[in-house]
Amino acid sequence: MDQQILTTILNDTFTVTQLKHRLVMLKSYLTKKLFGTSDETNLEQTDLNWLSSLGEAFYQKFTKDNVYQILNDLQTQTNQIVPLTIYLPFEVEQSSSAQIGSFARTSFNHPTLLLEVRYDPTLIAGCALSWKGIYRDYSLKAKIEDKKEEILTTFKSFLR
Amino acid sequence: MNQQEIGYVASSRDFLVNLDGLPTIHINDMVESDQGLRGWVNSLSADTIEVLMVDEGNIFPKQLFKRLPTRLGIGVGDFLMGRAINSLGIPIDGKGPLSKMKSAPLMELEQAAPGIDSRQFIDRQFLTGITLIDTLIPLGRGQRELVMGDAHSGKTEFLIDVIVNQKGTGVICIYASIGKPAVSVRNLIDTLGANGALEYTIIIATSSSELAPLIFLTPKTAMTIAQYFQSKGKDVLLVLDDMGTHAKIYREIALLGNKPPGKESYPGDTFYQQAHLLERAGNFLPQAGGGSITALPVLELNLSDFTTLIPTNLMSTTDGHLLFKSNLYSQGQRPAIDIALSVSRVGRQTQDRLTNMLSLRIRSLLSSAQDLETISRFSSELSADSQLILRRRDLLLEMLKQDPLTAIPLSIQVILLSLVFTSFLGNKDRSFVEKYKKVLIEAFLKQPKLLPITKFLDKFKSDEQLIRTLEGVEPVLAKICQ
Repeated sequence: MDQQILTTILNDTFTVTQLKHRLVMLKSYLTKKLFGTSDETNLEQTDLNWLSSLGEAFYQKFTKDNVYQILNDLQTQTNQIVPLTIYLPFEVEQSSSAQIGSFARTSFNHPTLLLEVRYDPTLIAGCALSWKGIYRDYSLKAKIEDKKEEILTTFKSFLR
Repeated sequence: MNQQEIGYVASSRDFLVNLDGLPTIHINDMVESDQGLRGWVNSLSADTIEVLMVDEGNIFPKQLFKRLPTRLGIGVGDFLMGRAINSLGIPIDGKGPLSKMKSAPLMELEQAAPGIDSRQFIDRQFLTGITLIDTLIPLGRGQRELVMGDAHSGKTEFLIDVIVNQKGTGVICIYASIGKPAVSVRNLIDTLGANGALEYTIIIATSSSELAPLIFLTPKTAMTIAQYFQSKGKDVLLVLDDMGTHAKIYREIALLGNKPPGKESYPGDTFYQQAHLLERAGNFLPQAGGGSITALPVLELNLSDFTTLIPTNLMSTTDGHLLFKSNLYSQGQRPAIDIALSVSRVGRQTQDRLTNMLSLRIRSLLSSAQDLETISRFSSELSADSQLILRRRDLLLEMLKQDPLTAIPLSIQVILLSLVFTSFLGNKDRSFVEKYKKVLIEAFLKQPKLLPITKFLDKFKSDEQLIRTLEGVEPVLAKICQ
């Protein structure tokens, strides 16, 4: 059952940061819903939208007896997920990271793939990926380093 | 596209960092953080890589570490002679960078000790120029002799003397100063420099204020450099000062890494660490380079107690030990070695027959004197024979005293000690020896009537014969000592 819950959450959650944030939010929402007395909430509208997008069937899986157990299991499973780290030369907004995440899931045929987005301005352009301890650099910086001699020779030909 | 192995910081405690990732990393591979801080892989488990940092800096969670193409090692070559470096090969003597280090062949610090098929019998004596050692507790080239004793008992003084006395012998000296105060390292460099010993010496030193992993590597670096010169056929003297600090540093690293503490809180593999290192010394066959590494690990004792874990570990991994005592030092005995409690398990086989016989005679005299001393406490009158034994013991101990930074050739050592058994010194006391020792040395080196004895010492078949010959030149000696 936990796996189903996690799969539902991961449907439109693409980054590790987003997942962690949403799990905290879900915990807060569920404890208030199951054990609280007032309907007041301090969650942002985007978060409320996401919570409501999960559907009534999703919330029916949680009861007063199992909620903490399920949330703890979810946390354990989340810690075991190996994310794909992507290094980008610019800072991405949430909407862009969703686009990149969706593209990565389709490209790598991995429906629950999570991204860890890191900012590295030295890449200049393009990106670098890291997966299970292997780092592959597809950036402009790597290209320039590969063709360093060629570029220098070309530049030197313009020297008078 | 370029590809490399990376890992991320999962946790860190002081200089110890645990990494995730790096799928094909090995123990002793080097890694570097994105801020240029280096470390080496100390141990591997199913889900984490334990790295010991050798550079100081901030480590933060999820920090990226790259695997470096080189393993934990040092560039070695003759360019190291006369220099002082730290355990990673960085010069610390202010004489400028070692530019040849980068192009020099890299030798890994961690190596398995050469097997029995590359070793040979220790059959050459390692002469120290110190009478007490060369005659009574002789060392062989390739021997491992533990030098242990109280603080301020003259261990370092003795080691410096041994190094200085290697001048002109072709022996390369390597001194590893492990976690000592920076000022004592400076003093060591200055003393060796002032006595012209620096040109054939290499100092590897880490100060007490440096990171524990860096201090831990010091003896390994020294041994690796020693192995380089040994592989070139050279005889090397390696001093590891001191292994007690090394053990404490290893304990610190192990406890930080959550390894279960054993006896005296040292981890279970402390013995392995020490034995694994000292096993690399020895006397090697020509096909394995032909040189030798004579190792003198040093250990500072607490109140002369050598029955604790580290002293007993080191005593069992070496071929003997020299025990220095602070009370002997304060009584003016130099070197302050307790002869009865010191042993050399392989040195005797390297001694010539004459010295060996004389050494046995001296040991027997010392042992008899010790017995008599106990008896003399209960009886007021001693026989003439007993008094002679006690007097000879005193003369002998005076003969064995040696000023710092002096070397006495082996032939003179043998003659001086044989003189104790002649009638010439039979009725003399300690003060006579103290007064005329230098005169006698000079005489046996220069006096035309005495010089043949020194020159043809190897022709004597026994110590008896030498003592008889010395009796024959008594008038000459008496004239010299007027």
